[in-house]
Amino acid sequence: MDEREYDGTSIEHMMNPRNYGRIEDADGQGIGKNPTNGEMVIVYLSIEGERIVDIRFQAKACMTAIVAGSIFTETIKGSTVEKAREMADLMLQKLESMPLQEVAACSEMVAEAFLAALEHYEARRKDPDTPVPTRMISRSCPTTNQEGEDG
Amino acid sequence: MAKRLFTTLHEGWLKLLFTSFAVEDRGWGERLRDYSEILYRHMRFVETIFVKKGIEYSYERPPIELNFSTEGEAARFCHETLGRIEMQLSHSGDPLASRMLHDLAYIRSRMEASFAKEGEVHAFDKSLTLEQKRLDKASLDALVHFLFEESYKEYELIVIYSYAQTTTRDKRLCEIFQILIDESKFHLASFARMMAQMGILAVPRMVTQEIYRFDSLERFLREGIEEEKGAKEQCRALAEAVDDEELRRFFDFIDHQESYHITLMHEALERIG
Repeated sequence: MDEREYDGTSIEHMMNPRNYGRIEDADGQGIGKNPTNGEMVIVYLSIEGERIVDIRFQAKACMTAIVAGSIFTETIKGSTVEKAREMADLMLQKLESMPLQEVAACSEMVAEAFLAALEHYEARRKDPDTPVPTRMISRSCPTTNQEGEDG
Repeated sequence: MAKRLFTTLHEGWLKLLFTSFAVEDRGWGERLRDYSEILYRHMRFVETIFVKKGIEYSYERPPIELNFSTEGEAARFCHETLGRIEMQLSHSGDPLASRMLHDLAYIRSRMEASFAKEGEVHAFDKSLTLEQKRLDKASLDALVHFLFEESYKEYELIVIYSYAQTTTRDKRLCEIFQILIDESKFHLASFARMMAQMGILAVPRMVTQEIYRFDSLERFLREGIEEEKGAKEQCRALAEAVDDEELRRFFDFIDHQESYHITLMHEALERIG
């Protein structure tokens, strides 16, 4: 059926996803979307000075995206904007080496949502009415490849 | 009634419901489940009033983490939750508030009577064992994946159909939504009890407004039919993947129930035609 292998860490994130939810009046907000199945991740940022003081995410996606979002936001929270951007870029570079395409696609969706939120944060400094950007991911998810299907 | 009461009741319903799955004294667990159902009804009563009065409310809520290790601690956890609801109600002569306060006082007294329970709770210990069954690693991983995905889906459906039912005036549609709510509650309970036995019980993440507040009932039903087909496929795939006859028959049983949900949703589609 599938080739996932669950360890204690991923089960912990499935049981209690970190930073799941919304930030009202977020400083930046971005969407990462899989165009082939409609799944999406929304990232909200609260930034003070150069530091990400709060980060939350929501997902209309499978549990793999929830685990990726939980681990990523836990790592990023409290970092400087510059360091966090480096971590997101590094995550995108490592997608090729991920053993499962589904994990790669979901991780890409989280990283792109985060980068879109940073883009929104920066654009809003010039124009507060900047619309929330959406970034499409390039990988397809082998478990769901049609718009509207489940993860 | 305070606006945040709806959220507190929603949390209370889920906390008592998932505590009912977690405890090993199954007699007490069944009573907790009955009490949780009373809180669900309180939530729906309040929802109806809010809709009538045009008061905004939301099914979004904070995350809920369960981490008690004895049944006595579980009773205290529920008692504290009920107290938070009680604080938002007053004896103002309102018949619903009065009924809710009496319910809460009684249920809290039953929780107090259970503070001394010493039974251990293993629902969160990640043991990944299920009733002496010996599942291979692939079957176990497939089952873990299915239970997390589908317990969220069932909770999501309860939220969506509850919201849809409150905002619909067609009597038959209301009946259909009620059937689907009851069926999803049964599926959620079945999956959650299995998760508790495996030590991976958790309250699903919240359902966002973007998901439960649909713009078009027709589109929602059409997507819902596709989702039910997806759930059937998940059940079939799991029944094939799990190397255990009893589990195979259980997932086949769930699969056939999903077929009837599709029939009901087609009927709903015809009604709004």
